[in-house]
Amino acid sequence: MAVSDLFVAFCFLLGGAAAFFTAFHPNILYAAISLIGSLVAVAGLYGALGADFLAAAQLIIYVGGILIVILFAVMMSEDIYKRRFFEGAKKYFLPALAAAITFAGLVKITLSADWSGATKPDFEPTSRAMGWALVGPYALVFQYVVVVLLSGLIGAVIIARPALKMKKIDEDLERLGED
Amino acid sequence: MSLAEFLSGINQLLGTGIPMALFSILSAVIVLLLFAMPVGGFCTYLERKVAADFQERIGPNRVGPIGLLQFFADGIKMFLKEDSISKNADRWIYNFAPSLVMAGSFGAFAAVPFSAYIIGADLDIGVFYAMALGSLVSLGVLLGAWSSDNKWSLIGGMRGAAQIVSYEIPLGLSVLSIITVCGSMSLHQLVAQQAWPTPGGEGHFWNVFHNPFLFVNFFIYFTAALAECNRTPFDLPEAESELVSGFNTEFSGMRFGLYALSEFADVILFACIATAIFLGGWHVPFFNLQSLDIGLSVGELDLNPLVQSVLMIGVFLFKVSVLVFVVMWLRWTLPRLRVDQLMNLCWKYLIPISFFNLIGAAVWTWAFGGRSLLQLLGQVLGVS
Amino acid sequence: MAGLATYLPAYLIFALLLFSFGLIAALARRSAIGIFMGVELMLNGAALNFVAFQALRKGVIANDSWLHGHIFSLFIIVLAAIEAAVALAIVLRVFGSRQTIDADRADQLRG
Repeated sequence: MAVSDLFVAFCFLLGGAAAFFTAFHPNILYAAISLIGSLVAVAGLYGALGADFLAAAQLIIYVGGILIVILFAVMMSEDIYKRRFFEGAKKYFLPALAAAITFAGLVKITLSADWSGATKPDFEPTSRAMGWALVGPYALVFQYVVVVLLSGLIGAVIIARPALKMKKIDEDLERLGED
Repeated sequence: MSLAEFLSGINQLLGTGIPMALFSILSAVIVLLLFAMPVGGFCTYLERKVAADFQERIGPNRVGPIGLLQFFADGIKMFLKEDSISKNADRWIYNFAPSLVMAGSFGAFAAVPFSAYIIGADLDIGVFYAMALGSLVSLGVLLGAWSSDNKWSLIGGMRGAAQIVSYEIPLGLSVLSIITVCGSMSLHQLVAQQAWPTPGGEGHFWNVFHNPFLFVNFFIYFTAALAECNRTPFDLPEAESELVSGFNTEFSGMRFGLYALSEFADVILFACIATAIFLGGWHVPFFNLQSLDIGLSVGELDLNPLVQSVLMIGVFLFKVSVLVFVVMWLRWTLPRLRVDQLMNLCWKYLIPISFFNLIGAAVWTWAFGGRSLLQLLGQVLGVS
Repeated sequence: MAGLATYLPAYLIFALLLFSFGLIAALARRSAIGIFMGVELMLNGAALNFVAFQALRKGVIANDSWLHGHIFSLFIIVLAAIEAAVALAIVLRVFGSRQTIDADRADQLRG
């Protein structure tokens, strides 16, 4: 058994266990923290699949950015010390059933296909090829993503502006309506 | 068997593919034991000595000659101290958070090129890898702060995370301008390109003198790196006059030691990266160390790489220690910023300027075919 | 377990597992942040699929050197980032107006 197999198996175990806790842990903060496990495991698998740039991007964007934002949101908006969000097995029954059916069906489809003959090419650094692709065939998509990012950021800033200002805007609008 | 042979032997044993990731982890552990731990410890001594100098005191002078062994004493003290946990602390996260910080700041040392021959893992995405691992630090700070069930800690941790996330943008942009100019993310290749320019050679001298935009970007990088390491004037997360000790208030014993040690490791790491990408790594003016030939050999073994390595490491560590000294100097010179000033500085000044410099550096590279100021000067004077 | 690292279905099933747990979290959790975390898990599973297919394919894909799978995953990661920013903004607004982020109770258009 090669070391790479062990590493991949470790990533599978870590990611699966962490995803389980993310779905089922009653404390939302613990769910957020166990999300780290899934994200790091996926970054490890990216590394195992030879996507070195993506692995680093996954770490820097997901762990360094999105997870921090999630933790901020949890800490600012929940009374985490007291409240438990676990609603009992009843709340989980239908979603779990739906997910189990989806999982079983897709696994069946996955295993019914013939995957033999898939080969793994030798590792090559990917960042250069990705850079060329982003300014080559994917240039338009890239620009589109940039526009989405910018508009999303502006939207987020407008939505998150302090309530006082929003109230003032509402009042201004109402006054305009009266006039 | 030398360290390099040992490492490459391990690399062969593991084959290609992911073992690269594993290999980098392994070498990170080795580098951690050989370099980061003692140097981080030594920095705590140095910091106290420098502080004493600035305040016209003597500083630590009891343990060993001129107090040199002080950090050993500190380390032993920390190991022996009781590791107390406050009653309502979240034990799991409390125990887990310091190791996150440590993994983030020590793991990145694997990619630092100390000489042309000594580098833990010459990753193709070297700079990016170091920054990615560095992002674990903010997570560790935030979680450690929250789990210790102390409002000072929590305020400090929130400040720390917000600050690190914000300053990652100017930091990333200034690194990106280097990548734009040099066309590589591998730290080894970035350093190799900064040799003293020779006729027909590839080198374009230190990136900081490559063009005016990169010169400004070096200072942006340095400022952002100060904020990333929570150092004065950006030490709001541990502002001792407002927040007791900030995010690590409740930590004691070796857990506190891990936080303190990784703060210094962070400073050294950012100094190492600044040296490698802006200040030419192990390159010196007027001469390329790699062409040094003393013609000495023992039997079949050529001693040149060894001598070169020693010189290169010396040059590299000299530049790093100058930067670290400047960081300590600033600590005892500048007052602390307020939170709003901190955010204004980042979003209203550093980010726009670094965006402008990124575009400027790209235009320069396009207009002059990637040649540096020095190379152009040489061309005008007819030297090369 | 030999050859696990080059066995494509293993990656696909793991990605499915992430997707399924994400689905459970998104459907069953009442906290808006919990739902958001479920969505992130689902996106991760999908992104892993692209990279796995890119690395362990058989046969030849047109213009293979462009690394189509990696580019798709990169776009997923980048769009997830902006999603997080917008989600945090909405969560903060909802919390500001009704002191809870229980998704079942944010049921009015006017707020």
